[in-house]
Amino acid sequence: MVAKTLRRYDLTPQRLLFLGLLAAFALAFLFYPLGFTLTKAFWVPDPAGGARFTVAVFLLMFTDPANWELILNSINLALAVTLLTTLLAVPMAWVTNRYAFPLKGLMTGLLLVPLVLPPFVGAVGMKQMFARFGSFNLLLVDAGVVSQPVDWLGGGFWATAILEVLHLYPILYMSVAAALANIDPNMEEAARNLGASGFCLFRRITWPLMLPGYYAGAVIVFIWSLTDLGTPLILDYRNLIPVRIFNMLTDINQNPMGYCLVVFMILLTAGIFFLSKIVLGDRGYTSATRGHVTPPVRPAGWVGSALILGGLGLVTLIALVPHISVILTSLSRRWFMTVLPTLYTGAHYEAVFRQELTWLAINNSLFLSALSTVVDICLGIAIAWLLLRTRIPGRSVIDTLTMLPLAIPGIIMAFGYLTAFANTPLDAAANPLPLLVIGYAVRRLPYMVRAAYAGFQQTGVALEEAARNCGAGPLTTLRRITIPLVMANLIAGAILCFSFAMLEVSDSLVLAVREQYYPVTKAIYALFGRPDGAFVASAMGVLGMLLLAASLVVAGRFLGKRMGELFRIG
Amino acid sequence: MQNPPACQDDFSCDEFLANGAACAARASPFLLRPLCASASIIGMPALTLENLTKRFGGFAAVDGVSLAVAPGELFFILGPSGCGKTTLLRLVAGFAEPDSGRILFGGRDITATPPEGRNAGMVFQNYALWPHMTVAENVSFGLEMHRIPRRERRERVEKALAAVQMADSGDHLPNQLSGGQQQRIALARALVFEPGLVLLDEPLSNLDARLRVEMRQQIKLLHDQLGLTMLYVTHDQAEALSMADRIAVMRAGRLSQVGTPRELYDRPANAFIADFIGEANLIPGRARLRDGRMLVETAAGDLASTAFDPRTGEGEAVRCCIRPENLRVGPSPAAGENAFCGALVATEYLGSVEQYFVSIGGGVRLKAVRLGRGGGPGRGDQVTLVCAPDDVVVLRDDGES
Repeated sequence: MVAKTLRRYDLTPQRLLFLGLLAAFALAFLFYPLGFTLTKAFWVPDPAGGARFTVAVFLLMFTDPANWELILNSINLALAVTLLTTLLAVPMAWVTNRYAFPLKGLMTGLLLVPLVLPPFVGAVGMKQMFARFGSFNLLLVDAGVVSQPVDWLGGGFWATAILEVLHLYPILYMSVAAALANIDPNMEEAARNLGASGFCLFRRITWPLMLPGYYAGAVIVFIWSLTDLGTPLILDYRNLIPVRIFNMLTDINQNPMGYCLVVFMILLTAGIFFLSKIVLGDRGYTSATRGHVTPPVRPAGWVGSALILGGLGLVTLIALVPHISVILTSLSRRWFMTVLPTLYTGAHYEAVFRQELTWLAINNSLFLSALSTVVDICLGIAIAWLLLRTRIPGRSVIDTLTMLPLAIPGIIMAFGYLTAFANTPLDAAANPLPLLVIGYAVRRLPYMVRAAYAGFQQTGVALEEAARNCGAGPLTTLRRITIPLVMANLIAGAILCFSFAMLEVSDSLVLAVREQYYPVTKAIYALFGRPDGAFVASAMGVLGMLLLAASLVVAGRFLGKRMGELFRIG
Repeated sequence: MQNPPACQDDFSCDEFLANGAACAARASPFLLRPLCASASIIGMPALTLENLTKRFGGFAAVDGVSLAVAPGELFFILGPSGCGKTTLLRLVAGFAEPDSGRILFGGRDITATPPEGRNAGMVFQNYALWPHMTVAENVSFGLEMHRIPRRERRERVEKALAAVQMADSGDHLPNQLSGGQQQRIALARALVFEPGLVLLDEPLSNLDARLRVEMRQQIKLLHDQLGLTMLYVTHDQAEALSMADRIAVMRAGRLSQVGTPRELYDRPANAFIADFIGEANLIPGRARLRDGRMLVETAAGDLASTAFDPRTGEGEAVRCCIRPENLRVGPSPAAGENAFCGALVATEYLGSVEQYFVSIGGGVRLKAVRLGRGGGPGRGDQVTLVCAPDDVVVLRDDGES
């Protein structure tokens, strides 16, 4: 009876063992840190010893004006970023989906470039360019547009928002473009046939159909900007929850407010995901199941092409300003009170490889990223295969579980790891490497699973069945048929995992406490605090940028149009 | 390629058993040992299904199917889409597990054997050629899995490719080939490792009409030359009638009738078979037994029949099946047994033949076929349709129709 049930659900001893290990891993590195944070927020130490349950501290968060301001600021920032990103990305996606115009391939490629620069590195360059006596102001003063330098960065709110928008719009763009491409042209044709056109057609048919795709991208953008730590930290904008949490880490044992803020963020992100599930329900309009869908592309004409190119060009140009400023900073020997640097040098790049801090950091990052990528590859293949090719029970649970790290902000995970594993063999204060590997691996696992899943989905089951039919066992089939067929997806997924791990911010900033264990991003942050460190920091940022750019190009080659799917949630 | 003696066209299970030794001794052009010999001891079916059932949720896709396929037989599973025939094939291949029942290969119970242990080559509907391997690698894979040494592998791949007339395409990738060529490679891949049983899942459904007819002959030829046991699934009755040694017609998960093509066509077991295979006039009526013959009272008059189930009861509701080509069209008036006068209401000219639709009263309309030479009656003419009592098959209502 038991054996029969096990067989019905494809449960072999090996699979049971793997599922057990997976559950243990999720318990230890997903739920335990979160649960630890929760208990710390609601169980405060009793003077009489032990701990007692109270919601007083948690409620204090909302009554204390300083905290309330933090919360409002963070939500406002996320809303502003999401709104601006939408205004940028949706029209661009629609235009590129519907019109043929010269240089289309190049322009759509350039649109994705901002992804290659972690915005907190961009912040380093932007400070150089938009500071009170930075290039931009000097340019304006020289031109006589303004007489006094303008305070562009202001309190830091809008500077943070714009940097994040410039980094995040490609994610929404890809998501929306994929959704548009998936709409069956017949849907719109049917509406036109019934007399709809123009904006009415978009509002009544196109927009509702692409809404799930838009929503998936917008949720990422919202949560990303809500929880971004690096950008406001560099811009010195302290009135945000993530920055406050980061600053509270040092005296976390005295003040439980840090835990409360983390819990609040967890609730907020969970609420947003819950909301998106309710709003979308099961409106998964993957209507384009027909073999071949030709998108209704029409030529834009001369005026149209000029307008489109002008618009896309302007966005790309603005989006590239942080990159350009970082590159300029990394090359400048002297840059003070002038529009452009007065002297150029390659010395900062040399310094990257000569200084102990930076050299160690590069080695650390390479080691950590490689190891976490290997973990992701093994887990990703196994999980995707189990999800698609077996009938094991609880597949939807596993699916949700592996996608969860996309939804849990990095700062929250890092915070949980640091506090929950303090004074255990995994204590980050002693040696953060194990936790960093696990953190990197867990955070990027969704990309690997998605990539492998897409690959398995593309390769029909019949190809594997044919091999079994020819006498190949399950493992031989996996090795000889399945893996080679999905190799492109695996390589692409692995490249993304690796390069994102190299430039991971939250885990690195929070977990790496001692200099000898600094990864690249923490080293950049540390350098930035030193006099003249911004130059070397920029040089390192440029190197990271090159790595990520190369990775995305290569991954894009392997994945083709499916690239956008990797960045979707749900 | 030398041409060994082909099996008789009409060769049923019993005939095969009588000829078993001859079949086993056939020299095969590219296989190194004759297949029939390896299939089983003489007298043992190559494939036996015992009361096989497979449910998906509450729906029984395969519902208590039993059958036996003799070694060397080209056995067809024929049925409309959704009747469970592909599920049945997947059960035999081992890609799905039956809820109950047994599957035996030559007397060996393989119900619990994984697909790779069954030694049954399969041709998939969409060919399932591995796009990352060349044609030669695709064909060679099965040999590799069966631990055939490299040298012998190369020889056998060459011979297999030659047998399907694709000798020069070993270095191509599958995507560089046309549909028909891919089909041939899929066939070579399924045959090359000398499987005891070859499974074909609607192998020709993705080809155009002309190519389909060509491949039909090619598969039949390979089957005959190599003495293969084949289980062939299709929804195309022309394919089944033209190629099969025997056909099992499947309907809603059950076998409706098993027999040679001629048996199925001439003596359909029920109205479904009569209608599904070929065309049929089905006339409802009541059975009356007269002197060892049957007289069926229909709305258009009495029909005499000698082809009926002796268990048919007096007064039972039945249907008479008359094939259109068994109705002779003559000038009116004529009288006698099984002669019906009526008005010709429509004609269809199909080139080789002409179809007539004749209203014979009582609301009955019959279809008749005549060679399309011209000079026949025209629309509105009165004609007489006559058929022999032996061509009137009485079908009992089995509750299925």
